[in-house]
Amino acid sequence: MSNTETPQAGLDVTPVAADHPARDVGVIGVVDGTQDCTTTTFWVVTDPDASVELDDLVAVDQILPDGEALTHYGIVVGQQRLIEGASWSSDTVRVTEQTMPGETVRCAEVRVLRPYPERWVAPEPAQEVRRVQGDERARALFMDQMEHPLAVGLDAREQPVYVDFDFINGRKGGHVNVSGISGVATKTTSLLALLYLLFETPEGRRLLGLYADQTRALVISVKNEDLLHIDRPNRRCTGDDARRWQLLGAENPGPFTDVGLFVPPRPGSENVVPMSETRVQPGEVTAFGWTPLVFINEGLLAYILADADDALNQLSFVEQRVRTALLRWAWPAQGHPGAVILREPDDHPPTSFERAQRHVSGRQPRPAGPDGVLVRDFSELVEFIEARFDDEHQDFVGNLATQTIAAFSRRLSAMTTRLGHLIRMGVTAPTLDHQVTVVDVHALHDSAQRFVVGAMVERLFQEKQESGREPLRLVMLDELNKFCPNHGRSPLKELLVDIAERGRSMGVILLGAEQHAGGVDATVIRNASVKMVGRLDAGDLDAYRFLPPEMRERATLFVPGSMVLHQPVIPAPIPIRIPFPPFATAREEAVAAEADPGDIDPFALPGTR
Amino acid sequence: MFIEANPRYGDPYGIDDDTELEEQAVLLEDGEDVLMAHELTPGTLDGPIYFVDGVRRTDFRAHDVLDSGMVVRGLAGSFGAGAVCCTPGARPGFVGLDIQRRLLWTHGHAASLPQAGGWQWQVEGLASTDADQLLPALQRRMRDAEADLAGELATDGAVVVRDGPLNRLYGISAEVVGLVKSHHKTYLPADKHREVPAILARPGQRTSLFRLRDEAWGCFLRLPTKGRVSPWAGIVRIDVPASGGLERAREVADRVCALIPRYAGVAHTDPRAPANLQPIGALEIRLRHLLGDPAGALRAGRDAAARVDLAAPHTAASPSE
Repeated sequence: MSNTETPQAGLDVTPVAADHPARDVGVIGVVDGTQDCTTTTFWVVTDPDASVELDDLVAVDQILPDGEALTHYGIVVGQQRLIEGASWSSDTVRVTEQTMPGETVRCAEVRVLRPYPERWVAPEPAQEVRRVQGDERARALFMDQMEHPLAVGLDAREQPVYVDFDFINGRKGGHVNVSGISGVATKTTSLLALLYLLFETPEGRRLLGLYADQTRALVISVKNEDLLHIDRPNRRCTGDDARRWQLLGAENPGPFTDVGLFVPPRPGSENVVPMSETRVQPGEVTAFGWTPLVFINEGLLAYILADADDALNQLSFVEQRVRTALLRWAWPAQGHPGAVILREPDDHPPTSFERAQRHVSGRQPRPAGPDGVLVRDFSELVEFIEARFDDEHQDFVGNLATQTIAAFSRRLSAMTTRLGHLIRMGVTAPTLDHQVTVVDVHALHDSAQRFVVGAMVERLFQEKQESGREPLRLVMLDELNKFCPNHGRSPLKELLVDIAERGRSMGVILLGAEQHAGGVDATVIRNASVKMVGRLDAGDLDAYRFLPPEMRERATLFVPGSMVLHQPVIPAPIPIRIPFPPFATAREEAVAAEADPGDIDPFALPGTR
Repeated sequence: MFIEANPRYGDPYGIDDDTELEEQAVLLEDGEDVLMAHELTPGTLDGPIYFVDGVRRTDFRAHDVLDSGMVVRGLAGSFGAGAVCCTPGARPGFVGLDIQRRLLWTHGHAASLPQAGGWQWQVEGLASTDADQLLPALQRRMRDAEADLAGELATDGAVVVRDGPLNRLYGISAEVVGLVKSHHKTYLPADKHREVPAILARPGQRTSLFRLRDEAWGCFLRLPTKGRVSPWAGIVRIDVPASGGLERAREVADRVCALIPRYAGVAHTDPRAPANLQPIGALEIRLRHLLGDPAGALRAGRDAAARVDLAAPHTAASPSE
């Protein structure tokens, strides 16, 4: 099955576009002997009638002195044309005025992908260069080295490009990082596409194996409500788009089939009402939050002070002290599910947070009374803490300076309006009951967003530390620069760096995205085995040293949907295109036909609208 | 056999080989003693016009000691000939580019050099015993190659402009002319010669035809120049075959002189502009490039000589010239 002689076996499912003439097949030129041919790059003098484009895969053969045949596979990364013999710019004018001769020469720069067999010898000048097709293409792209290939995009000629899933799932490597300027939506789409191909295609589910049904993705939506629609079909996805998804292995392209949607509760509302403007039908979305009991027992106070510079001052000492004190003082409140009774402990809990956590897990509910304060929401909690500060109670204040306490107190009060509505009775933290869980935090203040991300990821990471690598937990987080910035320290940043470093062995896989890789902690970028880069801002190129210079330059001109894929197996980055998604990534894409047909989707791939 | 480096390569062609005639020219087109300007309107191409030129270079010199003890001198050189074809509405292109290499010996010697690094010189033993005749012999071979190419291109309706004087005559229907850039000798009576720059007051004018020798007549043509230049700058001599009679010569001179100014060389890119026409300048660059790397030629010669079997008998072969 895998070794059939037909050139179409397995991979070559797409016919080359009809406008490529027949002569396009085969030899395209010869290796240029006037430019250095190295083990990494060479130039091709292309035939005048050969149609050669960037990203084309080519091959050069030679016989080594010991008689072994060597083939270099490469990818076209640049082109140049000039009139040979014209040495002054004005000569060109004379050539067009037809008084001076000049011959146009066309050259293409090729970056070597793979010498096969692996002998590190430069290509031979003047050898014929041919186009790579069929089974050979798989070899050029190291498919034979990939134990678990997953198609993630299409190349310029609409053939699938694969990544080795072992470099995503933690076996050989883990984590995916996507960079690119905002506004073209490519980053989110490419990560969602990856999830889609994993969860919604037979091949993806085969890669997930026994754990396919237990694998979970947590998608944190930071920009708008767009991601609350991925469970609905995209009405702008054309037949052509669907065909492209089929090339990637999606048998019946459509929406994500198993999605849980969470939004924050509406602030100021007595009842818990989900805050969403685009998903308003009852039951469509669930409001999330944390009860005071969970907040205290899980030590989520740490993520209240998640601003990058908070860790630089003494505030973290106050936070640790208060966090531990609350844990030691808290009993579940009888008759008020989720609320706590805070009272001075009489059961000698340990003083370290982790040990106290185990100690309090067996506490029975207590009724509210004169010896205990009932705390039902965040403002009551803040009130209680303030009162202990006023008492200068040793458990809460310790030896900390009054000014530091005051600064902490101010910080805490400010949080009441920002995230007070998230910590209350009657809510639960988002649960990963579905394959994909979208948690929308876009409407929250930055501090609240950091709190939510910290609280959820912390729990997920804790859970996975106690179990094996599989089933995987995929965490998709955009705007990493906000949560894990390049400068400063914060509990959230430490958590994310920890995941980047250790998460892959525990099956916690970070699918991160940011506008500019330089704005994100370098450890997180470095630990991502698979990197994708969309359109780059010309000023940011330094952070992308994993791309060769010509690819960096080119990435400043990418259209939406175009990405460069960089993975450990293939030494050169491969440009790919992500087809327009079959699941809705905006409200307009989800709602039925009466929506404004005139609004142009900036996201659309060229030629598909 | 021993190889010595040639002290200079890339001899500019044409300067030292304008084989001029001693006898004084006779004015004939507009009557005896009349040298006047002919106003021409710029012509348009209605068929191909070819510019033919050649370049040559001494690759290295050699000497060989015969068994008799006699020393023979040799010269290895490369030469090329080619043409630029200009046709209406198309970008000019190179045609007939041909590079040849010769190892010329005095005394009819015929020792050859094996091929080395892609270089191969064809051996010819000259009858002459004078080493100074080797370079002119190379020059003649280049001129012959040019003449052969011009002959091939001179089909009906084609205009062929050869760089340098006409050294061969072609059929009566072909419009083949020579273009002489440098004026080493005066053909006209001294007073007439002095008047030429003044007579040709404007670019595109030509003088009356005068008789250079029995087979060829000539006229001066002023090409466009820019800025303040010396009186003779921009004046070239056009040689026309005489075999078709005066009317035919006049026709050819008018047609060709109306076409050529358009191709005048550009001063800032070519020190020999405007007389070195743009197609000729580009052709020389291309041909010189095709001669190959001069240092590579010397290296190949040395490598080849080192491989020559010194035990082979050194006897003079039958001379070819």
